[in-house]
Formats: sequence, structure tokens, C-alpha cells
Amino acid sequence: MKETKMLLSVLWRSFFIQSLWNFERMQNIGFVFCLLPLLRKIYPDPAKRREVLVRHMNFFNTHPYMSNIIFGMVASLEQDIADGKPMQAEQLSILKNNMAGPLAAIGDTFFWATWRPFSVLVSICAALFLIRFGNGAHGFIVPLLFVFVYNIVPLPFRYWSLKVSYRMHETIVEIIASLEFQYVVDVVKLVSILVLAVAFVFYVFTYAKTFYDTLVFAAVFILSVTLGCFRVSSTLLFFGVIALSIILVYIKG
Amino acid sequence: MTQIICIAFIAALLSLDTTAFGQFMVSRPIVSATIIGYFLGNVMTGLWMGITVELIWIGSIPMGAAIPIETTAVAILSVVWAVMVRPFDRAGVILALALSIPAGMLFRKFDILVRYVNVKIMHWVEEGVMVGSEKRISIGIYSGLGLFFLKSFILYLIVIYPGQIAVNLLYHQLSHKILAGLRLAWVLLPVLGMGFLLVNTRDGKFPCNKIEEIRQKGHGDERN
Repeated sequence: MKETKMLLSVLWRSFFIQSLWNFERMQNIGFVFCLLPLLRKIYPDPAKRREVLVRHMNFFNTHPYMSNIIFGMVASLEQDIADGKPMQAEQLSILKNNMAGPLAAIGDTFFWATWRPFSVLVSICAALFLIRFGNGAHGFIVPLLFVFVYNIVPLPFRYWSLKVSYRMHETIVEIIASLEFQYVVDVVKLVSILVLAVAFVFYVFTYAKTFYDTLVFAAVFILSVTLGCFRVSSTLLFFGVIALSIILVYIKG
Repeated sequence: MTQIICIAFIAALLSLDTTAFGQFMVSRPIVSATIIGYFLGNVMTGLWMGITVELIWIGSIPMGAAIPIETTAVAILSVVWAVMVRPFDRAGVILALALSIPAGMLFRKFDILVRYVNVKIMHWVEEGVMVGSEKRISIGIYSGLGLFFLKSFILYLIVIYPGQIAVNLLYHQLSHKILAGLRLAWVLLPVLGMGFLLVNTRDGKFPCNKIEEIRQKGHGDERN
């Protein structure tokens, strides 16, 4: 019970990990802020705790959702050091920073580049359906749906990863590796493409009144995919489509 | 004025989610623009702007040290300007969206500035911890949070009113044909966004990605 309360306190603090994000050491203060309840338990002596806090104030940066894995692991290893087990503080520091990069890559790829677009797509399908058949006043359902669908994965993950890493020490690395994020990413991306296809067809049927309109929609879509592949800036293409729209109106007379 | 202060306050609170607190995605355009639209009594304009901005800037999220254009500000300001000036004209909505992009870039500049100020706070916290003041950690964190909030709140307060005037003035300068073009853009921009979403989902798996790779490799060889 006491451990759950303490871990929930760390989870709450983990929402602030980027509050003092800075260009010099990025999430370093956020890191010690999150770890503080655990360090207070491990090192009740303020003088000893001060040393540990200073040690953890070096550079740190990872994906905010994945940081909980590192909090749990560092706390459990700090406990080992406090208990006199053979673990060097320098080794812990190296391990912490070596894990931050790969975990950030997993977090960026899964949560931000895969799960977020998927949640957006689901919400957009709901929005298009609502605009076409429903009442406009119910539009607020769409953001609620987005926040719900999006957070259904990261929020439990943040708590679960903290709890498991706190109990499993460095074996958490093997557990994370066994989660097969890449497989999940591939599946979610495949489903996203299917949902996107449905959304696009539904959109064209709703807003294209003539065959000419359908052609224009298809042309803009192909253009955005092609130029998107060549990494042309979104902002530039945004203004490009506005210019194209004005030209089309002039051509059509 | 009270309405502008309220909007700036809500917008600044939502903006905190981007970096400073939580990352529950309530700052994403699809959420923030609809909420602001709801408060201004025009949910559908908010929702449409949210969808459009969300799709077009789908790849725009702070990763590592990269700070992209602040899409939350783009979405919120476009809704505020559109609903306050031309709520029922799609041309006015798109015009407001176009004008909110420079504002989004301005927000980005100030976001970078806050992160430099945070370096000073970080050193102040570190000095405190070295002499045994653990309180400075919490104070530092809440100061950073406060700075991110203040940055957004003040910027929203500053830009909302001039933006309304700019949208209104510019709208009256535009010809009927240009306004008709903006109305067409209203339906075409989400299509552009869907294309970006496909690229984002299939990143690196299109034939043009290979061409781009070869081109970049060629540039590398030339440099070598």
C-alpha cells in the first residue's frame, strides 16, 4: 500500500518532468523532482541524499512517457547502492544515460509517430460522420474521443512501466525488449492506412459535388503525398494549396 | 476585453500540455481549437480548424531538442480570429488560419527563449541543492511551469486583438474571386493533410523516398 502510494506520487511528478526543460541539461531538474519521493525513502539522511541529488543533476533527456522506466530502475539500483551491494554510482549514471536514447526512440516512434496519428484518424472519422449525419452542436464529442483513445495506452503504460522497473531492477531492459514495439507499430500503421482510406473516400463523397471536384481532390492528395515524401515543408504546401485554390477559381471563371 | 483575457487564460492552460505538463495531448489542435470554438459558441468552426491544422502539421511534435511551429497557437488563434470576425464565412476562417501561421512562429521563438531562461533557473536550483536546499527543486519546477504559462498567456493577450483587426481589414481588401478561392481551400486543406498523414504512416516506403535517399547520398559524395 505504502509502495503504491509512493509510486503514484512519482507518477504524478512525472507529469512535470519537462516543466524546467532547458537547453543545457534538458530534463535534469525534472528527473530529480520525480525521483525525490523515492530518494527520500532510500536515503533518509539529508547529507547523503544531497550527494545523490547532485549526482543525478547531470544531462538527461528522454521521451516523457518512457522516463518512468528509468525512474523505477534508478530507484531500485540506488536502493542496492544504499544497501551496500557492489554497484558503482558512475555505472548507474552511464546505464541511465545509455537507456535514455533508445527509450526516447521507442517513445517517439510508437506514441508520437504511430499511436497519435491513429487516434487522430479515429477522431477524424467520427468528426466527418458527425458533420455529415449528426448535429453540429455535438462537435465537442470529437476532442473527448481523441483524448480518450490516445490516453488509453500511454497513461496505464506510464504507471505499469514505473512499477515493473522499480521491482525488476535492470531486468526491465529485457522486458521492454520483449514487448516487440516494432510489431505493434507495424500493425497500428496498417490499421491506420485502412482507416485513412475510409476517411478519404467518405470525405470525397461528402464534399466533391462533381467529377471535376473529385479530380481536384485526387490531384491535391497525390501532390501532397509526392511532395511530402520529398520533405517539402507543411507550411509551404499549406500556402501552396491556398494559391492553387485561388488559381482554380480564376481558371474556372 | 474580459473575453480576450478568458480565452488567453484557457489557451495558455492548454498550451502547457505541449511541453511543461502531462502531454495528455489536450494541447493538440483537434482538442484545443474545438474547446476554444465551444467557448466562443461555434464548435464546428473550432472542430474544422482543429482537424485541418492537426492533419497538415501531423509530423509537428517536439522530439528531443527540436522545437517545431506551435500548432496549438495556430489552431487557437485561427479559431479566435475567425469566430470573432467572420464566423460564418469559410473564406474568413481560412484567412484567419493563414494569418495565424506567423503567430505560431512567434510563439516558437518565445518558447526557445523560455528554455534559455530555464537554464538560469536550473543553475539556481543546482546551487541550492549543493548547499542542502531541496525546496529549490520544487520551486524551480513550478517556476518553469509558470514561465511557460506566462509566455503563452502574454502572447495570446498581445496578438488576439491586433489579429482581429488584421483579419477584418485584409478580408475587405480581397476580391470576390480570391475569397472564392479561400472557400475552396477550406475543403482542399484537409485533403492535403490526409496526404501528409499517409506519408507519416508509410514513411520511407514510397518510391520517392528512395530517390530522395539517392539524391542525399549524391550530395554526400560531392561533399566528400
